[in-house]
Amino acid sequence: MEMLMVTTEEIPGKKIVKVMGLVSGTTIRAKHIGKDIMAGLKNIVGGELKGYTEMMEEARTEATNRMVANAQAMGANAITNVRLSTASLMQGAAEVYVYGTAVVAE
Amino acid sequence: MGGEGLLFCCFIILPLMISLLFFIIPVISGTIIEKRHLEDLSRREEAIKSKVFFHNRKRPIMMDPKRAGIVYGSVTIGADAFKTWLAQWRQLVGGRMGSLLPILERARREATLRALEQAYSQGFTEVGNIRITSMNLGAYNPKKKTLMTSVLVYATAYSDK
Repeated sequence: MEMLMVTTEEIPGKKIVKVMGLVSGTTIRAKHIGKDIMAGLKNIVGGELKGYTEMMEEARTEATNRMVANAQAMGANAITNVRLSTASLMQGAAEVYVYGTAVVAE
Repeated sequence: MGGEGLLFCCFIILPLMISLLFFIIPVISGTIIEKRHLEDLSRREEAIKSKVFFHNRKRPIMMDPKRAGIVYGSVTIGADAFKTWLAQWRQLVGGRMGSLLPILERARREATLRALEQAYSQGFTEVGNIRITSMNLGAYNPKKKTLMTSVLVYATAYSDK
């Protein structure tokens, strides 16, 4: 089942018929030492650190998938007010926390 | 005289050349990378402006949106060694860290652009309620101060089709 997600309180073209409650998903990810060394070298010359960009995208996808799984378990078909929060725990490791309100929209 | 020349070479010229190399390489590469990135950003921003309308309102501007969804954009950009060195000196006297500001600005623009490009590729024509979150991935190690700014942009995209 596809989960509809928005960062707003309402979903355009749909009516929220039931609010199921808060759902969240989190993950902490890091890259292997090779990518860390490459990022360290790239930091001498500057520019995009593609390994870390990839890591953040993986973390965001994984956290979102966990939130969606929680919402599906509650019987929701949409999540409103989605918010993302990030934290750097160690050098080259990050936590992504995603949360929102699971709703049934028709 | 030959021995003195060798000593002079080993202890004065060689370290001087190595330190110059460590300054010159980051300065040149950092400037080139930044210039190219800014040009690329301007070109892509100009191209997306006519395709996707974006704002920070909670409600869509379009009258009757038929479809909505979430879009993301993220990027991690590192500061070059010269800019980090300049920032460390600035910390001694305090004030505006002008060397690091363009990196954060570039990261925000790039992440926003990626979110807008994702919206366009999925057939959305409007992006609203844009949220920007950023952090430094290199902030943990107090001995090795590095700026690796990671920016995550997310928003709700709308389409009238």
